[in-house]
Amino acid sequence: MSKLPAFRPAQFCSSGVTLAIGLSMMLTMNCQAADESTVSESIVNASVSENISADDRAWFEQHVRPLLVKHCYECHSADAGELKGGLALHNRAGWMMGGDSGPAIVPGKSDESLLIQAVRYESYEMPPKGRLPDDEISILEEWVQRGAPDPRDGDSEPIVNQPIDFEKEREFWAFQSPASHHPPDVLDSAWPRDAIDFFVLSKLEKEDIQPAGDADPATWLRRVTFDLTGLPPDVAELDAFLGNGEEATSVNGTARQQVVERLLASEQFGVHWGRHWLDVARYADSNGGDFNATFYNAWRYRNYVINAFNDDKPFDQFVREQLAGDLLPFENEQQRGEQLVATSFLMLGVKMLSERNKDKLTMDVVDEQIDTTGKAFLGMTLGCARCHDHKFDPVPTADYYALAGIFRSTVTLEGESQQYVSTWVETPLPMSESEAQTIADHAEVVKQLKAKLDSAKKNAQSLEQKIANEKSSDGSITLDNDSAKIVGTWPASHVSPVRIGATYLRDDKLEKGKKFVIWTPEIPVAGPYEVRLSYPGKDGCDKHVPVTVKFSGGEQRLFVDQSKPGPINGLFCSLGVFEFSAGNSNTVTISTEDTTGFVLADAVQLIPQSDNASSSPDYDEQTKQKIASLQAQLEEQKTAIKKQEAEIKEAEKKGPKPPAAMAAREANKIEDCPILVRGELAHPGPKADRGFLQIASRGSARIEQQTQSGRRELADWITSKDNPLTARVIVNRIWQHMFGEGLVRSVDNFGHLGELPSHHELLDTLAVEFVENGWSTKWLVRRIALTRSYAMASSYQETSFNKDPDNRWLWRANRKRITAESLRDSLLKISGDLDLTPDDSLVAELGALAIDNSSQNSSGRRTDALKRSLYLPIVRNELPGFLTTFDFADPDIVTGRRPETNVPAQAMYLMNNSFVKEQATKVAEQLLKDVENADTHFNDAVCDAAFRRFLARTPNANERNAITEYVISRSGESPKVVWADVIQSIFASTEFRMLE
Amino acid sequence: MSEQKNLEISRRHLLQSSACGFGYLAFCGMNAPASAAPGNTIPAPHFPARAKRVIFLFMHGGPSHVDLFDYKPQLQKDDGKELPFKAAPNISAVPKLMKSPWKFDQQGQSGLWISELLPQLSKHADDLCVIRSMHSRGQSHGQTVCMLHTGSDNFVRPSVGAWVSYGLGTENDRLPAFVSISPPSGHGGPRNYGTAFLPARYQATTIGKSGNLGNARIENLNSSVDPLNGQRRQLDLLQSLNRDHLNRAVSDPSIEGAIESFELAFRMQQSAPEVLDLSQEPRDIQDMYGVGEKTTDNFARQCLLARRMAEAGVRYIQVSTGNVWDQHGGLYDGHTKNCLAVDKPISALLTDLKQRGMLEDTLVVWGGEFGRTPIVQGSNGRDHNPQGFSMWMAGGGVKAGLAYGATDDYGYYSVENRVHMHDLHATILHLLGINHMQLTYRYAGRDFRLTDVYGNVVHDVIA
Repeated sequence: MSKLPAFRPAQFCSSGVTLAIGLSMMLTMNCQAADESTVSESIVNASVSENISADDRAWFEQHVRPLLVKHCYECHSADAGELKGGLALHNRAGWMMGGDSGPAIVPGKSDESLLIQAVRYESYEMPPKGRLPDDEISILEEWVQRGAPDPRDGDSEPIVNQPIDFEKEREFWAFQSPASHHPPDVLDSAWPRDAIDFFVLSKLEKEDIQPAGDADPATWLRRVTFDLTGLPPDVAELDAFLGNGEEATSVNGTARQQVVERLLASEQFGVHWGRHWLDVARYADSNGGDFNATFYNAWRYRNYVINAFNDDKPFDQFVREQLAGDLLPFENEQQRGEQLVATSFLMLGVKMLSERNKDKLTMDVVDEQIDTTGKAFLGMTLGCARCHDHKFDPVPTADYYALAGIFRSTVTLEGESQQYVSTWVETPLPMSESEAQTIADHAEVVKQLKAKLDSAKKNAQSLEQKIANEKSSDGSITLDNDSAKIVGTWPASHVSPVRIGATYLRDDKLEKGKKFVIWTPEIPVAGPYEVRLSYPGKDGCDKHVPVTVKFSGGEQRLFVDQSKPGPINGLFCSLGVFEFSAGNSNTVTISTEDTTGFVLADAVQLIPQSDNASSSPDYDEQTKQKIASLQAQLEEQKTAIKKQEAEIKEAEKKGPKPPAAMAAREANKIEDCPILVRGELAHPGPKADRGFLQIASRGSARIEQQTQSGRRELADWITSKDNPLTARVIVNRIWQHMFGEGLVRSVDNFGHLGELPSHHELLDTLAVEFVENGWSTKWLVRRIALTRSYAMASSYQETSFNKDPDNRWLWRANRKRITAESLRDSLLKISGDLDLTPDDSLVAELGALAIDNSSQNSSGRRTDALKRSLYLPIVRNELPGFLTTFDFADPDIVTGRRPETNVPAQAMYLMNNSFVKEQATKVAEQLLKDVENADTHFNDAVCDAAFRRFLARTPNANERNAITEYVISRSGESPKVVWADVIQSIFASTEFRMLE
Repeated sequence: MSEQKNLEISRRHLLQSSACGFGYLAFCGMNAPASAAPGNTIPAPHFPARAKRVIFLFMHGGPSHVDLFDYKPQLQKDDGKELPFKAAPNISAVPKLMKSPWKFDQQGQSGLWISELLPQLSKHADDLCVIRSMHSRGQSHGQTVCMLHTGSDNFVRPSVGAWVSYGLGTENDRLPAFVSISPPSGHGGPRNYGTAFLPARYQATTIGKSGNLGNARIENLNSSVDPLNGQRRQLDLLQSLNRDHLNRAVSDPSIEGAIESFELAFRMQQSAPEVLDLSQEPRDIQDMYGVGEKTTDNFARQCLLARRMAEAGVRYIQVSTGNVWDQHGGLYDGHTKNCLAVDKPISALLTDLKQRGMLEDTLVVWGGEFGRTPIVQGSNGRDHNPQGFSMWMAGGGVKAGLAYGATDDYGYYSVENRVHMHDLHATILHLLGINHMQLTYRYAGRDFRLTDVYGNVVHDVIA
């Protein structure tokens, strides 16, 4: 592929709604761009006003010019302060040349002219203040149809679009390939311990700044323990390390090596360093945004990240899996699953799920993916290039849409959870045999529970039937369908619960006229009987069902309306009173003759019409008792049913679900994305070949194959040794977490608006060596931890401070804040409450919508778990309070460096929050118990023990005095209460929240 | 360019002078300089401000403009007829016109049309500047709520209040610059009062949630110990530890900032509860707002609290109803109930501000994320309508008794003097003395502003 020229519109982000006619977009993709603009020029020159007829001229002056002056000149003329959208309409050349979107008028073709589309409010909406009246629009249309005769001469200032000169742009440091450098010579050759130290010292010597002395061993231990695991060293670890005596002070001696190895091997390393990556990956357990859907499976990605850092997964592999895990080869099912989970990276961003314009939503999601990929891996801000060529960095719009083509050929959103609300892809994960077995076992349990429930329900029905029978045991006779003679096929049904017995019969509207149900009651005593027919009547059943009663006086044919429930108790209808003779010579027959709807047959009931048979039954004692006993059984059964139903619900909710991941997959249709003029969907331009950033490519930046999205190629390109950015960016991130500041301080921005590296050669050398060492994070962390640079004290030196107040040359250790998570986890660790075991999901019990859009309550989020803070639910819009208060990374955006603030909310949290108070009380109790002779209010031992736990040191005289005075001033109170307040103060102190 | 530079005052300069009030200084002082991104200067007012503060009354859910402020005789006449032009895409309403079930009348000297749903507010017609040609971006709540609060329907951007507090700071060193009373928990939730990439100190302090004031508390504000006695002593101990740390460090703005923030928090702890305590208001004032009346109590307390905050120097105060205006069905009952709940409190707020002489420099803004369709959804509902709707402003330098712009004959599309949400934002900033194009913050290699690349100040509504 040839190199693509690119343009920079003169108007960057021009303000105001404008008729933005985008020349640049059209031309960016055109390989003959230069020729094209020459063509435009020649058109402009060729058209001369003398060619206009006098009529046209007069018509223009009378009708068209006033309109243009009135409605357009304010923004689109030489008099406009700023030419909106680069379009001038005050002369002919202006609209011929057009603005950012190209020529405004195609003479003779009003429908194709952007200007006409705009005044019709079909594309742009011009003028923005309100649509012109139809008659004025007609004038403009007619003008264009006439060929846009325009007598207004004058040159239009051509837009100066300079193609990006990639060769020249690659001279910028970040776009050059990093090279390894020999450590520079230094005067004080006794100082360095590692090659890194030579680079650092060399700069300092050049600036004539003296490096600070070494931090004392306890300070180093506290620093390295927090930096590697996010937790403080405990007293035993402190004592063990200091027990090494002289050896502990040796910067890279065995004592320190052992500490570093111990910390690297700890699972807490992955927890702490995984969280750094989760900041960059804008990790969350819910969508946030407009529709805060719960991400039930996001935790798999979180744990994948933790494991990746604990396993020291090569960083290039880590990148490839996150971008294209679904497309990578795998050796076994477990690896396949892990790689699928990794692609959650693409899906964790905030999305406006309820956006009704789904094409727009897709492009917004793609934009978020491009932005995140750019910042996370490349330290590049690419979002700008959605609307125009990047103003500062050599990223043409074509490159943005080259990436957009890749992500648009990838599916992350799929289907709707409710009308207009999109949902995302959940991909089933491979199951291990034991997982599959667990799920099968659980299914079996549920099945059995359900069978038990079924039988309980049947039992209840039969009891109800018995009660009904007893209640009508005033000599009445009930005959269910199972005692009837059946002619033809009558399937039994139990759909309707309104029935006698377990089932009722249905003719299914087949073989009409040939089917009968005949009951032949055994009549004990001759006499008059009321005959009732039962059926679960409802819509769709026949309205004219013939029923024949044969009695001693003959036969009577009646018709029953089964389309609604029977009038008596919703079940029976009375057929009348008939004289029955004793014995079995009487019948009741249901026929289907001449019916069209369903015919139902459930039961018949014969009620003797003797003197004592009244409408309100007066049961005898025995019957009453029988009914009462049956009722009791029924109640019992009903309670059992309720309980069983709840059990089933619980089992289904709590039971193991087939594992699934938020994982991306390939789209059915792989296609390039059109360049959208000004980022607007309504204005698609030519398509951009899928590909990468030209500035960071050594070979072709375009993808040749047409069968896959190109994510795999993208991942390979990002992790290629030739990519000048990737290794530098991650090395710089690691450096930042160890030293508090990156060698490039703008860790997410290596572009022109980012900062330059303070130690360029060091960064490059580390980047090269990082790749040579298998992209190993632990290798780099280990190496840095044992340098003299890392071992320096944070102490103040006036001369050095005056020369370099920001510590750019690293003459001392930066005083670093500990993270919000560390703050909480430390307190829990010190109080002994911290549970270090990993966890899966803390959001499993949330609803599909983590927070309802109108909800008052925020129940269900388990923020009280005593796990490491990383495991707490990151429900967007409802983050755990202490996290946000202490500068947690906003999961809505990529955060390579957390902000550091001192807002009063932090102070209020530390002073007033009940969790802090409780934990402080707990620590106080332990200390008072641990330390003997703690029966007086003040005790040096308590004070020492507290300081050692929190600050890895003993208090100085000032501190001891302050605490002594305080404790004495409250001598009348319970020591526990007083000491809890002291502990709280130490916890709240600036020193605890910082690493020296 | 040079002119613009003159308008920008460096942060350092601001710290040295007290041009923006003592409170601002205090807030700046709490932050380590390192936390201010390079290249970011705080703009001073660009021109004289007409309003010193804003009270934004957010009607979450989208009140129906054609039933409140946008009288359409043609709609009344054509009830039941087919909409004669195309309805907006992606809605559930059918293109059948439904007239307003309420009577409209002209009110006050200005003759503004207001429906009978708002009898109390009608008495303030001559104070209102109703913009009847609003339009916004997005068809669902999520997009438009964020659009209204942050100027973006899709991306994470700082909220209006955060921009204002970044631009102007606070007038009171004991209170935050930006307070959001009972903000929505959904539809963007905290994003609607958040700072996105602006420093965290500009975000709102919230009280209550989702239209409900609850017990009107600020989190962790209340100490379990007697603050003046017990807690002060403990704080003295803590501060002595901190000062010892600072002495050893010799110089560290972050430690200094933390020390200051403990003092500020302690001061807030003393003054904020007083501002939050509505019982300090005389009975007649409480009655005027409708405190204690079942239908109005909740919103009355919110409005009264807003006034107390405004008086105490809070710069940007938002009051939100719950997500209650979304009448896809049950328009009559829903809007009747909602109007009853807000009419009296809002009207009292205007009266109260006026009688204290505060309406002149307090900009009150009323509106929802969109209006509702003149066409029917179901049998008695209206769908979302960001294509055209009404909002109003009062006080703070806007023309009073004005109806600006117009929708079409049915109230569907904004057609005359259209005002986009970006334009409203530009106008609000303008009234506060800020040029919306110059209030920028550099983040990720770009200068961001509230109005993105859009926004025109609506000069016609400015007095």
